[in-house]
Amino acid sequence: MRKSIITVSILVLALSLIFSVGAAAQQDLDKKEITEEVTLKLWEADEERIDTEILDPLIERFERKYTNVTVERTHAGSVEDLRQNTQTAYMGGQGPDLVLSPFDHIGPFSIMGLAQPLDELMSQDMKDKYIDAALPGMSLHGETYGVPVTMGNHLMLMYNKNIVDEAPETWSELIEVAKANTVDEDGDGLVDKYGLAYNLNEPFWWAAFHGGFDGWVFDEEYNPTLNTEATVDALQFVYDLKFEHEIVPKESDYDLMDSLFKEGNVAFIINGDWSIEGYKNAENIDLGVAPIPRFEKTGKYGQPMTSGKGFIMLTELPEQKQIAAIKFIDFMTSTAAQELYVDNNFLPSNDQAYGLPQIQNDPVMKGSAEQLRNGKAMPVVPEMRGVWDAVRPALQSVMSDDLTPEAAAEQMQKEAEENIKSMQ
Amino acid sequence: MSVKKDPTWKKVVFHIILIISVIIAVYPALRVFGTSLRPGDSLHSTSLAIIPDNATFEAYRTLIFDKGFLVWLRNSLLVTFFTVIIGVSLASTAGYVFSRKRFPGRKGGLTFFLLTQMFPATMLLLPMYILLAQFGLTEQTIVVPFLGMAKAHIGLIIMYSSTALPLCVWQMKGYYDTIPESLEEAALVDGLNQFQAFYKIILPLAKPALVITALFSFMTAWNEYMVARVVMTDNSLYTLPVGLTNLAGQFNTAWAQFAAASVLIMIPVMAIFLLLSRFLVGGLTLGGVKG
Amino acid sequence: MSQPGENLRFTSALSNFSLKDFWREHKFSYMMLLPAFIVVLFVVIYPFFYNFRLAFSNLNMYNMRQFIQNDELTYVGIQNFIQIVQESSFWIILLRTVAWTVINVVAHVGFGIFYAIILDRDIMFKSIYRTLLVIPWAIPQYIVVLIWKGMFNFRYGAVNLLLRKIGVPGVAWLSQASTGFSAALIVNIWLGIPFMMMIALGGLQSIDPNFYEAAEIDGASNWQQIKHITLPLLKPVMLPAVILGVVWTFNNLRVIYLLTQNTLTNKIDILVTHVYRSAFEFYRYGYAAAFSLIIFVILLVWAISFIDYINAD
Repeated sequence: MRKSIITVSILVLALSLIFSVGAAAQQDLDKKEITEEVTLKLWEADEERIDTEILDPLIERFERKYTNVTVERTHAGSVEDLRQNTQTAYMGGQGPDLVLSPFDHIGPFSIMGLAQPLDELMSQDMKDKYIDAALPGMSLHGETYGVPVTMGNHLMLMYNKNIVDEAPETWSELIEVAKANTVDEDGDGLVDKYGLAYNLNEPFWWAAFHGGFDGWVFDEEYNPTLNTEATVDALQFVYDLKFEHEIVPKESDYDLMDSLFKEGNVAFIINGDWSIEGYKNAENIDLGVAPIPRFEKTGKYGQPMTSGKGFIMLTELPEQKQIAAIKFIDFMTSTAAQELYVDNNFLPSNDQAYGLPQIQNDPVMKGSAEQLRNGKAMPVVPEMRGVWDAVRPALQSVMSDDLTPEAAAEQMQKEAEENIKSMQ
Repeated sequence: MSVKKDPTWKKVVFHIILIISVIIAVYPALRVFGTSLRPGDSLHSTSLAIIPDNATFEAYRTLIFDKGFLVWLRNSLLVTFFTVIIGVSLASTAGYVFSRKRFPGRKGGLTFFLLTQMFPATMLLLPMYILLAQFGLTEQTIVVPFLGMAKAHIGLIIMYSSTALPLCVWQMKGYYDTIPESLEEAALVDGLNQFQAFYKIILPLAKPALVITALFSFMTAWNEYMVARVVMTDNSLYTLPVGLTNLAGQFNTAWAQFAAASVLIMIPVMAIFLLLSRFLVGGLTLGGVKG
Repeated sequence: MSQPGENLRFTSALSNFSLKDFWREHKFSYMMLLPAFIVVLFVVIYPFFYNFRLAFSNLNMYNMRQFIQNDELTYVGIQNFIQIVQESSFWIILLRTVAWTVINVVAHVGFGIFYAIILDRDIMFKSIYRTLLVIPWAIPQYIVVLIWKGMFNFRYGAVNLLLRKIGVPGVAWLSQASTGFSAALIVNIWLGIPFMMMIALGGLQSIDPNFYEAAEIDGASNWQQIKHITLPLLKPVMLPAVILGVVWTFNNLRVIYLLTQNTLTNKIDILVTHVYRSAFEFYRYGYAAAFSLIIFVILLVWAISFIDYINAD
């Protein structure tokens, strides 16, 4: 009896030793202390309002909590500038320590060796606090390279309640209502009010239609799959919106659709979560939010690509900086910090934050969260660029009536394959 | 120097042409101004009116009082001032010998200045940054406290001067070519040395070219942001165009402020232009001196 | 017996080369030149060789890590260059770039001189006109190109509105490659005229008014005066501006890139926008560097032969 107790305890001891050895690679930096004065250089590409209303106050709170850390926030221009400048500065040996970036930069940054793998730096406790979709969103080939702060960046259907009472369930209903609201008020032969506006020639918008027809841009090995029935259907559908139903403005880019909606000249718009705050405050808009309607053919709702923004740590940082960076990320994704994001209509990455009344009780936020569930994560592989650049010209040609959907699908596939090959 | 007076019908035609041209030149700029007055940050408007409904100067107020506009303005003036000084002084001397002297390497030198402009600039950005970083010229530390000049500003000044110099050198050379050499010959006979002849006789005659050179150097430094964007990371050291790009986000841009900043950036340019263009016309020219 | 001076001059270039004499003769020239030369050389030489090296490598995203960490490149000889000239798109883009450059520069210089000549005459309010006409140059390009983009919108743009007023149906400018290219030309011509106007205005000041008086006495018409006096005498001042104008227009990234972003994308690419996309969207650094080198050589050959042609004239 006693013997068996000893055997068991030896066994336990041995097992715990094995486990602790196994966990030795696990650094759990969020549980370590910062012992030196550390300056963290953070580069971001957020809009001005977010910089001053979310980031700066949070940084201030963080610095008060960790008095030996200073966070220097630098706005690096557009999202493209952020990527290029980070890379340039890194190669010049300067660069940031942390980047707050859209998920897509994970692709190039991890392949070029700029992004620090984080799996071993974060404790399991820290990892457990995120929603299931969060960390995989910033992972590639099984490694985590970033920690999301906000989830979404997804398109949804928004409507102006001053013009229409409620959002339709299916596309045929939407088209009907939109037709009734596409009018030439002053009789000069030119339409003044539109039923629907969205960014006609932008693949990111088209992808929501494509997904609704059950299409997806890649197969499992990241080979493009664009010459499909779904592609043809989705192209035909957006073509019809413009040429047959005539419910959208003839040339409509982002800034134009945005201006039209703000002026109260559009009933429905398809736009992303980033635009909610501006529309809530616009005086001509009483904002409603709903999922992009269902397509009769597939029975599926519009399926926007989802993404988000999160922190990427640069490689080759000294340990003290790494600890400070992980602590900072941990802080920025705490429920308290995430509440500020929620207040600005972003969906958080922190699981608990979804219980906040701001999400539970606000119809707009609820609608946004609902739409997020209909979305599908945008691939972060750099090959995605090759797909976008193949879709865009073909889509434009269809929308200017130069190319049939069938020919366009074929062209997309061919160009996507060429683009991806040229990158290797 | 103006030629003889034109008959009235001709003047009317000129005025009509000029008025139409001015409208075309100014209209897009007026739309920028209109955007700056628009509440709610829309870039476009469906109305053609320049002044929007419920126009507001709020964007200007925010920009000047809440953002670092005045600091950015000072930084830009600083960088631009030194770029102009370097551009004008180095180009006026280099252009002079290219025009007057025959020496080994003259043609090669002239071509060299041209070639520096031929390589697509975007591809030069990365190695230029690495170069500046090597010399510590990307550091944000202040080196001339009373001017608020940082090492990175010096980097920019060098960068901009070298960008502006090729045109400036060629421009000065082209203008010197039109000034008769007999003027210096006379000066040399009068006992001036080569540099004095250049400095006292020729340089004053080349004022129109100096004005163009100054204006061009000014514009190069004033509006550049590709390099500055990477080099400047400290908000208080930004030049105006970098501060301007700060207002642009991925989707939502503070268009009203962005436009307001663009209008404000333009004002010093117009002022400089008015100031300098006095020297461009009448009175101080070669003809004037000779006549 | 030969004169010592003559002897010296004769042999100095060959056997009896004296650095001291050479220096004495050219000291002034080199000292005047040196500062400008050093500043430009400092900035240019390293970036140039950096790209030169990349042009013969296969640097892309996948081997970038090796390059960043160990400065390792895999050289592939002239493979990039062969690939570029074999692409059919290269020749189309080259042709488009040439058309883009020629149309732009001709318009810039033509209008620039035209306005300069008018504004140099005795005309009321000329300083007001001059100031207002320079606005396209003074305004930050980024925003004004976006404003132009809005002005080309089919339904609301000012351009179509004007067309409809004069009874022409609106054009969907940014939907078709041909109209999109025209739109880009209009914007860039608008942007570039003030610069050439200023250069020409400066140049006009160098012309001795006595020439005109003499021509007036000979009974030459205004047009004849411009053709035989103004234009030839403007040549030395306009030449550098024209050469650099060509180089800059050839390498003008911004207008086409911003105007076609999210509209026509790569349908009206010129060489330099193609380079930009290759390097920064597809991470093909080796290819883009080789492409840049080709652009460089094209411009260099053109500039040298153009200068020779002008000087021979």
